[in-house]
This record gives sequence, structure tokens and C-alpha cells, in this order.
Amino acid sequence: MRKYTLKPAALYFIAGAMLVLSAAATLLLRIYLVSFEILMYSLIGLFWGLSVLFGLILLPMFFRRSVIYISSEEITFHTGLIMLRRIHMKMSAVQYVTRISVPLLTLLGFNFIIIRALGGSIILPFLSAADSDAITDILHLEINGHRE
Amino acid sequence: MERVGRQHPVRLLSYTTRYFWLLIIPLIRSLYSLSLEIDAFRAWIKGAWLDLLVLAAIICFAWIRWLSVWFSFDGEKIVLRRGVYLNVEDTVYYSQITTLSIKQNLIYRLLGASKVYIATNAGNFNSADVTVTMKRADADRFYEAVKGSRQKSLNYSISPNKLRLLLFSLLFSSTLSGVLIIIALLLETGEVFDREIEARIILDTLTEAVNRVAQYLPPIISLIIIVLAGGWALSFISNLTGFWGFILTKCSDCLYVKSGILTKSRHVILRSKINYFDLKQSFASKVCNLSSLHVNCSGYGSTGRNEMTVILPITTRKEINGTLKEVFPEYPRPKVELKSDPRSYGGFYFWPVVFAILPVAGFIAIYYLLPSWYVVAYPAVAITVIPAIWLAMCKTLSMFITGLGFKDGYLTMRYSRLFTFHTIVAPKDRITKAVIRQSPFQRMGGSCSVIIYTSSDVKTKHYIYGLRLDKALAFFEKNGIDLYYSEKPA
Repeated sequence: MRKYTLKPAALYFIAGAMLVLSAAATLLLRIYLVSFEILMYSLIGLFWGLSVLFGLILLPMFFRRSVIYISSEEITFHTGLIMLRRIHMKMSAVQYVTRISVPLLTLLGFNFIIIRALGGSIILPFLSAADSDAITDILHLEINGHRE
Repeated sequence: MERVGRQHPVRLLSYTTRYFWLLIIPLIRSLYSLSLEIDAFRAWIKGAWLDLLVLAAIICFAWIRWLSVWFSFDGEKIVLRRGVYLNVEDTVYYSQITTLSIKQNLIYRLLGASKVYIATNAGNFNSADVTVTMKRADADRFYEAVKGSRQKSLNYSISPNKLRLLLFSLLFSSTLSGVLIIIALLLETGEVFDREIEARIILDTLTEAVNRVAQYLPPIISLIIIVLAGGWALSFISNLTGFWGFILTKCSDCLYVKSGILTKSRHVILRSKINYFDLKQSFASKVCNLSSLHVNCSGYGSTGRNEMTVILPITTRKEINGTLKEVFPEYPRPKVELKSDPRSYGGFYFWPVVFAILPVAGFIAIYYLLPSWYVVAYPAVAITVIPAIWLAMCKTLSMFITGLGFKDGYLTMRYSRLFTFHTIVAPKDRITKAVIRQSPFQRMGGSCSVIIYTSSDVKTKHYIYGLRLDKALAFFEKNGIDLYYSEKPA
């Protein structure tokens, strides 16, 4: 059984992007809503609140809790924020694999795999390029194994 | 040997938006009406530069989208890469393909293009998992590659004669499917052309046709007749041209189906992935002992409008056993052991009675509330009651054939749904759920309805009405089929 975790670089990038967006929003609100003080401070508070909630609490929790286990028998994905979820998929049910990557951000872990299987699919998010290749190779080997 | 290629350039057209056509038609028209003078051309450019710029942007974006899609295939898999903002890569191994369909309509044939649909059991609701428009040569190579990955023993080949295909098209054509074809056609063209133009063309054609017939009949009756006859004729033509030249070839692990005169189709169906076969009959074909053989397999029959899951358009009862023996040697002959209970026969007429009562009630209401509409309502109610009478006739026949059977690990289900009679044989492992349901009337009579769910890429239910509850429970217990919900007799 092999264990894979999500790439933390993606988390840092998203958290950083959220903070930058909040700073930019603050700047714009300070310029354009200066005459509506209450609205301005409420919106600034909302932006920073959401950034802190998602970028510093929820996303790190999601990244820390998400673990992928792959064996020749099954794929298991432990994930969840408040409710923990354990998703199991039999390897024999896997039909084909879709790989998604974001150009220029592959090195930061913006690689996703959708495992399409009988009756459903699993999305494995934020993988490193090497892990994405390794998981795809394992799945393809196993799909070929079904046939033989 | 790996083959790498891009889609056929015809795909560019579908990547443009419909604004492309809204812009290009007036632009070409104004260009055509220009006098051959340089000043006139300058004036045209001055007036149309923004339209030309938008047009260039649309073409440019379509071209980028077209460039972003490419495929590669070898002896064991196909890889499709696509995406402008995201790189998406699908890898499908031939061993997982349930149905491969390659289709060429008239335009595609003229341009040397083919549409390739790849379906697996991954459950993309009623559509192919991967669809790609290839050059004809590439599609042929891909077809051969998939064919090469299958076993090569040729067992059986059958092609129904033209008279039978004509008969099949006559029996299986319906106004409803004709109307569905029109709707699908409108939706498809609507994505390209303006809906207002489309609506105007339809209304003009319909008005003209109604005006011609209205010389002899009242306008409302003319409209009903034109819609019914036109829809049926379209369905008939679509069926006939779709199944012309039909050939089914069975190999040890696959079924190969080829058909079509205007739109040519080729399908490769993996036999082990077939969920069940279905012998379909209409009332007329039931009386004449004719049936068509259909299969349920992910991706088969879901690649276009009015698509059917047929693998043998029509066969006589004499031939059907031979064909089933050759095509599905492991399946037993369909035989029903548990039939519907005579005490529940009345329930078969529930829907025909409802369908008959509604127009009559409407007619009575019109008679008292809008007496001047009586002339129109009278023939209209007569026309709408006919399907209810026809349904009652189908249900009468259905009472004597509905039932369940089980042999050698295969479940036989015989029932009718609306105007079609089904005889389905499914392996036990494809039964996903069995439900017993009782209405208050059935509870009084001790009968029930059995609903069988089978594996499929869409939710597939089979209703078997009017079985004795105790016998149905015993049937499922004896054959080891777990019931999702059951109710013991009171």
C-alpha cells in the first residue's frame, strides 16, 4: 500500500493569493467607499474574515486531513473538514482516469486526478506532479491487470 | 504503432458561438452587394471594422480551442488531451470500452470526418465518456486498433432483408419520436443560428401547410393531422435510413454493428458488458409474431437523437430462437413461470381509463362553458381518445403475458410499457435492486407490483404488474434475489 498526501505548496499559494486579494480589496474599498464608512469596514472585515477562515483554518485542516492510500485492491481517500470522510473504491471498478493540471502551476501542486469507476468517481486534488504521475501509472497498470 | 492527431477542422464550426453566424451572414450579404470600387470597399471597412474584429476574435478563439485538443492511440489505449485554461487528459484502455461508436452524417462524409464516441461503464449519464471528431482515416485506424484488441474468431453474421427493414421502420415509427427529432434538430441548429429565424421558418412552413389542408378541413384538425402525420413520416424516414444496410456480426467477445444510408454508423459492443437483451414488440408486431432484438450496454444507443439500442431490427418468432442461440448462447430461452394474477386484471386498465376520461371531461366542460367551441372540441376529443383505446388494447394483451421467470442464473421479465411489449433476459448479477410495491387496491386483492432495477448508465426500472404477493415473495426467496422492500401479506 502506498500513501500520498496533498502538496502543501498549493495550500501556501492559495492562502497567499487570498491574502493578496484581501489586501487589494481593502485598498479598493478604502479608495471607493471612503464616504460609506460602515459599509467599507464591514466589507473589509468580511474579506479578511473569509481569507483567514479559508486560508488559515479550513484549507490547512483539509490539507492535513487528506491522505490517499492506494493498493492493488482499493483506493482509499481520507478527507473532510468538519465531518471526516473515508472514501473507498475497489480497484476492479476503475474504468478510466482523467488527469487535470493547471498550466504554470503544476509545480505548485495544481494537479488533480479523477478516477472514473462503476457507479461513481473520486477526485484526488492538489497532488505533486510526481505523485500524479505515479498514481496514474499505478491505476493504468491495475486497469490492464483487470483484463489479464 | 502510436498515432497522434488533431480533430477534423469541421470541429472549428462547433467551437464558434452562434454570434459568429449572426455576424457573418449580414457581413457577407453587404460585401456581396458592394459595387466593385475601392471607395465602396473602404466605406464598407469603415462601417464594418468592429464586426470584423469580433469575427476575427471568435475565429481565433475557436482555433485556439481546436488546437488545444489532440488525441493519440496505440494498440491498447486512447489518450485525449484538451483544455485552454486547464490541461485535461483522459486515458481510456480498450479493455474498458463497453461501446465504441463511429458515426458519419452526410456533411461529415463529404468533408471526410467521423465522430467517435467512446463509452465505458464509468457512468456518464446516457452519453459517451469521450467524444472526438476525427479525420476519417484516423477514425478507421482507431476502429481497427480497437477491433485488433478484441478476439478474432468470427462466429455469426446476420443482415435483415430490405423488406423487413421497411416493416421495422413502419412498426417502430411514431409521431412522438418524430416530434422528438424535430425538437432535437431545433436545439442543435439553435446553438448555431438565431432562434427567432428558426421559429419564423417553422411557423411559416406550418402555416402554409395548415392553409393548404384547411381548404378541406377545419384549421385545428388540419394542424393536428399535420403534426401527427409529419412527425410519423419524419420518424419513419429516420428509421429507414438509419437501419438501411444493417449488419450484425458476432465474435466470441464482441458484437459489431454497421448500418445507415445517410448517416453511417459502426459500433463495437463488448459482450461481457451487456446488461441485458430485450425483445421489443409493438401491438401489431406482437400479433404478427415479429420482434426486434435490443441490448442494454453503456454507450450503445446514446450517441444521437432517435438513437435505438437495436442489434437486430426485426425477426420472426421462428428465427428469433436461432438468432438468440447464436448471439447469446449462454442466455436461456425467455420463459415466464410467475404470471399476473387474474384478480388484478382490472388494474391494467387504470391508465387507459384515466387517459380516456381526461379528454371526455374536458369536452364536457367545453360543451357547457364554451358552447361555441363545440365544433372544434368534438373531433379533437375523438382524436385524443383513440390512443387511450389503443392503450387499453395493449393492456388487454399485456394481462396474459406479464410475468417473471428465472433459469440458469438469468431473470426473464415480460411486461408492457405504454404501447411497447418487452421480454427482457438479464443475468442475475445485473439485477441491482428488486422492490415489491402494493397499492391500497392491490393490498385488498393480495397482489403486488414488482419493480426490478438493472445495471445501466441511466436508472433503468422494469415494472411487472399484478403478481400474487405470496408467489412473488416465494419466487425471489427461491432464486436468491434480495428484496429491497417487501411487505408480508396481512
